[in-house]
Amino acid sequence: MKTFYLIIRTYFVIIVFSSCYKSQDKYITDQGLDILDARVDTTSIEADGQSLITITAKITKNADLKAVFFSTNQGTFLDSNKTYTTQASIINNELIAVAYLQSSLNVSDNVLIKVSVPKVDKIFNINFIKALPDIIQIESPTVSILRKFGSEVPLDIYLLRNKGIPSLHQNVTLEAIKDNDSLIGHDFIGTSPAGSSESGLIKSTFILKDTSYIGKLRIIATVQGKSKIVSDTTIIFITN
Amino acid sequence: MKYQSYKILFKLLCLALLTIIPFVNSKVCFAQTKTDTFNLKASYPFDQKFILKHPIKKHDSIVYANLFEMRKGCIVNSLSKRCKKNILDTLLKDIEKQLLIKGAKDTLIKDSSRNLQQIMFELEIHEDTIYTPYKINLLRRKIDSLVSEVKTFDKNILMGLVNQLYDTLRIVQFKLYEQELDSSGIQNAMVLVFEIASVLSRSNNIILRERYSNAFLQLQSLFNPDSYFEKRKSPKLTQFIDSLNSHRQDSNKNNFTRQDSVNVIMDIVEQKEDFVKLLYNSMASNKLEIKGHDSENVFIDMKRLEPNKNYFLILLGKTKIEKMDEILTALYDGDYNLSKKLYDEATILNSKMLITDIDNYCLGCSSPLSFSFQKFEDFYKYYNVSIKQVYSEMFKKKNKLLEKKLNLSECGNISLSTDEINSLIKMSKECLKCKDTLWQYEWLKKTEKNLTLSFLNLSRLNDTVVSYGYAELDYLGPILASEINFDNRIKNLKTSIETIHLLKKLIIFYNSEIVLLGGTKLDVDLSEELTILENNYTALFIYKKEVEEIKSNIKKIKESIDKVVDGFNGFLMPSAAMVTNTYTWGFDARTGFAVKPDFGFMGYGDFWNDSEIFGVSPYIGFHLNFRPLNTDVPWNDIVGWKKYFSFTAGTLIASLKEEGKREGLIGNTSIFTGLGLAFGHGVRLNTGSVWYKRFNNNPLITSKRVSATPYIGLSIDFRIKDIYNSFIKLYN
Repeated sequence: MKTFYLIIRTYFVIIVFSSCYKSQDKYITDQGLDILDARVDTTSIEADGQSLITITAKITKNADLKAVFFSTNQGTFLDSNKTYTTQASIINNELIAVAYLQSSLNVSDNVLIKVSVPKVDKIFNINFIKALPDIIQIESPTVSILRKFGSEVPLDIYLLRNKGIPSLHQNVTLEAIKDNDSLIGHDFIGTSPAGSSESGLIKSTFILKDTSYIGKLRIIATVQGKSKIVSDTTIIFITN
Repeated sequence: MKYQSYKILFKLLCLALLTIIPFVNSKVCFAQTKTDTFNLKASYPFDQKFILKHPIKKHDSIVYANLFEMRKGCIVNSLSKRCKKNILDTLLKDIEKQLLIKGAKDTLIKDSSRNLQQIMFELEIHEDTIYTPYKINLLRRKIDSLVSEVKTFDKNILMGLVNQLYDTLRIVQFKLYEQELDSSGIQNAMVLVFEIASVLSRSNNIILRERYSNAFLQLQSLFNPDSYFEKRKSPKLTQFIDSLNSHRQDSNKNNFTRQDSVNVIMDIVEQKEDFVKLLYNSMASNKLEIKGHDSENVFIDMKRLEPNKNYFLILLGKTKIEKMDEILTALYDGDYNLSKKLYDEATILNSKMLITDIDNYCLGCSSPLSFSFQKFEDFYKYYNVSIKQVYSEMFKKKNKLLEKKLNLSECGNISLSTDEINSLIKMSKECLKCKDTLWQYEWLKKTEKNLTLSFLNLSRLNDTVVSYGYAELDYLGPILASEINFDNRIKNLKTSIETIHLLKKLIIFYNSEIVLLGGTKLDVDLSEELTILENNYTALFIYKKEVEEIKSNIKKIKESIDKVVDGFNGFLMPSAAMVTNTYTWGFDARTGFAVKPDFGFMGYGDFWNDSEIFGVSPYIGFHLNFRPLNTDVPWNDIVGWKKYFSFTAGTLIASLKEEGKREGLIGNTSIFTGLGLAFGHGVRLNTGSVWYKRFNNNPLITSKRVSATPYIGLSIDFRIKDIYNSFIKLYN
C-alpha cells in the first residue's frame, strides 16, 4: 500500500512539475535581451551610397539556431540587398552576428533596420542625412553662340564628392553674368526639378533672350558644399 | 536550474520503479508456487456468491463453515482487518448477550476462555434534583440522540462498538430506573448526558465527554464480567449519591475542574491472540451457511470473494462426548470435581490436530492447528444456564418412573390326577374327530404338537412365571432374558388366557360327556384363574403404556438436552480445512479483468500558464483497474473501494501540435495518463495529465522536453462502440 501511495504521489509531483512552466511569450518578454541583443554603431549616416552602419546582434550563447536575419527598408547590406542573413559566430565568447548597411543616395529620417531571430525581432530607426558635394563642376560643349533670341547653351553641372556620391535631388543656383558683371537677359530651361541625379549630374540649358551685348559671358553654378558654398564657372562668347 | 530539477525527478521516478519491481516479482513468484491449492477462481467468478461443493469424509457432520481472509506469509498476520472486525463484532455481540442476560436474570454467563476484549466504559452520571417521569423520558431521548450521534461518528469504526454503547446505555438506564422504583423515598434521578469529544479512529477509541459540569458522578462499568459484574456488582443508587457528594466535597475543596472528570472512554484493547485462538474464538460466528450435504459433499453458501486474495476455509462439526451423561449426572449430583475430571478426560480424548496445506502455504511459518474443547468452567456456566433446569426435569421424570408400581396377582394351585389327565387327553383325541365347534377346532390346533404338556402345565398356574406373563402356559421352556419385555409378557398372558378359555370349555364338555357315560365329573373350575390372568393382563398393559409414555418423555427431554449440549460451541471441532485463493492464473482472464479499453472526451489546458494550452479532444485509451473487475458481475455486487479507481492511459485524437511551441509525444500524437473514478462498469470520470513535447522557451534552442497539462474527461467503455461512433461524428 505504501508503494502504491508512493507511486501516486510521485505521479502527481511529476504532473505538477511538468505542467508548471513560464509561457514562451512571457519568457521572451522577460528574457528578450538574452535571446537577441542588437546594436548599431550610429544612428545617422550620409546618404552618399558608400557610408556604412554596423549592426551587431548578440544571441543566446547556447543557441542551436544561429542564423540572424537582417532587413532594411532603405540602403543595402554589403554583399546583399535589402535583406541579409548570416550565422552568428563566437566572438569574445559570445555569439555575434554582424551586418553592414550601406546608405543609399536618398535622404531619409525613417530608415528601419530589423534584426530577427525566430520569435524575436529588434528594430532600429536611423537617418540617412544629405551628403553634400565637395566640388561643383559646370561644363558645356558650346563655346559661342549668336546674339539672337533663343540661342541655347547646353550645360552639364556635376556635383562631386571626395567620398561617394552626393545625395540625390540637390539643386544648384545658375547665374549668367556679362563681362561687366551685370546680368544678361536669359533663361535656364530643362533643369531637372528632382535635382541631381545618381551620378551627381544636373542638366540645364541656357537660353539667350534679346540683348545687344556681344562678348564674354560667364555662367556660374553655385551649390551648398559640405563645408562651404562651392561654385564653378564656364565662359561662353556671344557673337554676331 | 529547472532542467536539473527534472533530472532529479527522473532519478526519483526510476528509484521508485526499481523499488516496485522486486515487490511485483516476488508476488508473482509467490503465487506461482501455490499450484497445490484449490483455486476457487477456476470454478467460480469472484465478487459473486456461489455454492461451494466441498468433499467431506463420511460420517462428518458439518455444522459450520468459516472463511478467513489471509495475507501472504505468516498465518498470525494473515487475517485482514475486515476479518478481524467480524470476529470482534461477534465477540462484542457475545458480550451484549451476556449483559442482556445479566440485566434480565441477574445471572452472569461469561465465556472466560475466549479472553474477551476488555472494554473500558466509563459513564458519567449527572444528578437531577427533581425526578419526574418527564425527566426519565427526556433522559431516554437524550440517550437516543447520543446514540445517533455516535452512529454518525462511528461510520468508520466498528459498528459493533456503537451497538455496544447503545445497549450499555440502555442497560445502565434500565438499572437506574429499576433501582429508583425499588428504592422508595429517593427523589434524585441520574441523568446520563454525554457529548462526543473526539473520535480517535486509529486506536478505535471514542471519547465521550460530559455535557454539563454542574454535577457529575462516575459510574465505571467494566465490560469484563469477571472483574466487574461478578465481583464488584452493580453499584447501588445510594452509592452513587454518596459518591456524588464525595466528589462535590472534593470539588469544593480542591477546585475540582472539569478536566479532572473522567472522560467516557471506550477502549478496545488490541487483540493479541494468535491465529489459532482467533479461529477458535470465532468458530460459532462469522460462519457460512451450510446449504446441506450428502454422504460425499457439503454444499456451502459462499460469500463474495475478492479477487487476488488468499482465503482459509475451515469446516466445523459438533463432536459428541461419550461420557457426557456421566458428566451431566455428576453435575446434577453436585459433584463438581468428578464432572470436571470426566470433562477433562473427554477433552484430552477429543483434542484434534488439523493438518492442512496452510503449512505449505505459509512456507513453514506455522505449526499444525490444534483444537480442543473449551475449559470445563465455561461448560459449567453453560450448564447452569442452559442445561441444569432441563436436566432436573428429566430426573423428575425418571423418579416418577421409579415410583411407578406394577400390581400383579398369582393364580391358585390347580392339580389334576394322572387318570384325570389321561381321561382328558383321551377326550381331546376323540374330540379331534368331531370338532364341531370353533373352540374344538382351536383346541385341536393347539394340542396338535404336544397335548400332554398343556395339561401338565396346569399345575404351574400358581407360578409367577405364567401368571406374570414371563412364559405362556403351553410352553414353559427356558426363558431368555432378552425376551422378557412388556410386549412378550402381554403376549404370553394373552396366550395363557386363551388356553385357559379352551381348557375351561373342554372340561365343561368333558363333564357333560362323562356324565352321559356314567363317569366322574372333574371338579375343576378355572374361572378364578382366568380372572386373575385377565386382571394381570390389563394391569400389565396399562403399566406398559404409562411407562412407555414416561420413557418417551424422558427420551424427548434427553434429546433436547443433547441439542442444548450441542449448542455449546466449545465442542466444535474442525472437520476439514483448505487454503484457497482467488488469484487469476490465466493471462487472458487476468488481463481481461484488469485492463479494459475505453473512449471519451476530455478538456485539457493550463490555466495558470496564460492558457497557452487549452482545448477539447476525443480520445481512446484503456484503464487499468485497481482490482480485477468482472463486468458481468453487477456493479453493486462488487464490494470494496478499489472498484471505483483505475489508472487510465491513451492517446488523444486531436493534436496539440503548435509550431515552435509543442508537438505530440510521439509524432503528432499526445498521450495521457491519469486516474479514473468509475460510476459503474461503463462510465468513469478521468483526470490526470496529457503528455506532450514542449519546445524550449528560448526560440533559438531546438531542444524539447516532455511536459504535461492536466485534463478532465469522461470515458465510456469501448465496447459500447455505437456511442463512440456517434461522438466521432459529432466531433467531425
